[in-house]
Amino acid sequence: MAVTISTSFYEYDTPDWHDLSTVVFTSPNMVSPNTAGTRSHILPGELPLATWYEIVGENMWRIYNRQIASIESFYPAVDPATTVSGFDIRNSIVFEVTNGENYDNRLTAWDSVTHSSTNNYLISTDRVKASCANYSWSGGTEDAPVTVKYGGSVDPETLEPENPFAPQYNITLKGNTTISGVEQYYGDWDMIYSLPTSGRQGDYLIVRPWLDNITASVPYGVHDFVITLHYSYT
Amino acid sequence: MDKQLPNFKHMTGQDGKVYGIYDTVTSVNPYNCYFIVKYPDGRVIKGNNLFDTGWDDIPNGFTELSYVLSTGKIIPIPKFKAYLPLIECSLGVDGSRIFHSINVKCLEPNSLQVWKIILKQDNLNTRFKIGDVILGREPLPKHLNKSWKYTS
Repeated sequence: MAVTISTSFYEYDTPDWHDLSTVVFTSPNMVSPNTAGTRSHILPGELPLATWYEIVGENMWRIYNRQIASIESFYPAVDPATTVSGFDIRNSIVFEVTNGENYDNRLTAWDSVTHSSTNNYLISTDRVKASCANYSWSGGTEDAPVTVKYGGSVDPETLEPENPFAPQYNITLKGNTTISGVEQYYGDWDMIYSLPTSGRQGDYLIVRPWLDNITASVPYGVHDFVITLHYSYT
Repeated sequence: MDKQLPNFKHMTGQDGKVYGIYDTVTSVNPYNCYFIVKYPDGRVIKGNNLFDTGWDDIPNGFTELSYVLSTGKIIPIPKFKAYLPLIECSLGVDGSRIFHSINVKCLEPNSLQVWKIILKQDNLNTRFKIGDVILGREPLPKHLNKSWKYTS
């Protein structure tokens, strides 16, 4: 059947959920919220970039001030060797199946809206990263997914065995590429909608995107790319 | 499913263009692609489009399955015991959407035959064109869900 997927983010300071239109990495030196489309010139390596999430034609919010976040207890760590505590809605994007079911889900990144090329400086140099987890919940209480979707933070590992696919941290997103046996995407798994009253809720995908190694070696310019969810349905 | 395609330009009855930085994709018009099934009693059921195909609503027992693309090309699928057609697409966080293929999984006694119908072509990867069919094979799934439809 047809599937419906919502993509949203949580704005924490004036708490509310918003439909996401794009992810922006630009200067932290602007007030948040700001008008959608606002960008600030910043030289590579000069300052840590901030992560902003944006709504079509309205506002964008600064979600996080830096690219490198390895010490916050509730944030996926940048250093793969560091113990990971989990995800937090304050830095993440939530994909939610609100009707139907879809198969062979795969989260990755492409250079543009054609979803066909990785001919992009940030993608081709392995700088586009994400931590991802998908989950549902049937633990006898509805609190756990509410915690993830609506307010707090949780380690997706603790939601097993309802996790149909294991979380992955700090992976590179690069189209459908596999390098030396390492997949440059998060997937593939299935997502099925179930009514909250059924005792099982979901399915969800939570993603925290970030950029790695934004130093003075990065050429000056705009390096747009698109994070995509690839899937199949009947 | 949201039927908006903010990344499509110059949509016609046959196709639409998606312009990227380095690449241009030509896609079928997803509003005008559908399946057709025929039943032994003469009934014919036509599907809707690629957003909401209508596949799950049709009864079992048909004898013929074919796909009609917006380009006008008709792709008949040979008769198998059962079918599961999957629309393969990608959805960007910016709302952009690309329809890549229709993967028709066909049930055989010991495996699945997969008919992959290509729905887009681009100027970087010129290997396949719209309407091309790539045949593949997959192992039998553990379960056949309710979306599988059986022939007569």
